[in-house]
Amino acid sequence: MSKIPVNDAALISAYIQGDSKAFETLLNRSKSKVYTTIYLIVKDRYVAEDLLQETYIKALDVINQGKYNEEGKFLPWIVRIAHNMAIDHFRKEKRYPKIVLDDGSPLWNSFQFAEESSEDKQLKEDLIVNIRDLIKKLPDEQREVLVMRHYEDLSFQEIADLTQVSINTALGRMRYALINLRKMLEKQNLAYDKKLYPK
Amino acid sequence: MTKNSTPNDLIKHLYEPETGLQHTLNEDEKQELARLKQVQNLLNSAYMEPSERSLEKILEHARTTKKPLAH
Repeated sequence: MSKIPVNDAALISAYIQGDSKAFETLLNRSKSKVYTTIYLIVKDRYVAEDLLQETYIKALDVINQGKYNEEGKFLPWIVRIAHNMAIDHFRKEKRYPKIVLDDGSPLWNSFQFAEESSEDKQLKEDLIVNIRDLIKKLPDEQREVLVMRHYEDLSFQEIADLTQVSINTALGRMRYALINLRKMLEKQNLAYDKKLYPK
Repeated sequence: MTKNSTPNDLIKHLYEPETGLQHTLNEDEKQELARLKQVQNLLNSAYMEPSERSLEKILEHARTTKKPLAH
């Protein structure tokens, strides 16, 4: 029985050497973060499943072609692929407008998300507090920073660079995202209590 | 005299903690940080798991495209 290497770099090396079990370990470590990142952008489980497969297949192709060079940082790398896949999905479907701002800023400055699916609308009717639904209600620029910081593990400086805003703006958006989530949670809890204990 | 942290300092500390900052916070700031931490913890509950079918397809691709096991 072979001993499974611990760190991601060792797992990739083992996979390149022919040990497919090593990749399975990498997949199990990263799948939840990658899938959640995609889902919070596209808001559709079926599309998210497809994009998840495409993300890992693209990553595998890069690794198998000997082009992987992320110095052991597999998770941030695969999450970035997933993020870009989700954005490309909108471009292909023409549901994600290419935005050219007056100052020539790239689309990162206008991160937008898909309309809610009927499945999501049904979920919304559920009285049980669902944090995912609340995240979807955040303004785009706040949700963008929240997803990038919390789920993609980008630093605030990296977010500021990618979205072409100051680090204080990125921090401020994250602050408002968390405060708005807290307010929505308080509001939902109130509604929930009223439903349970009507006057 | 303790220098007050800005609201953005608290957010930065929440995700990218700096050694020693915790000791400089006043009571209000500590309470606000604790409230933010609660939301942060809740965000962790939003993680989702993909279907087994998707995972199997990915693993199948990994198996079929890998090199033969080295000896």
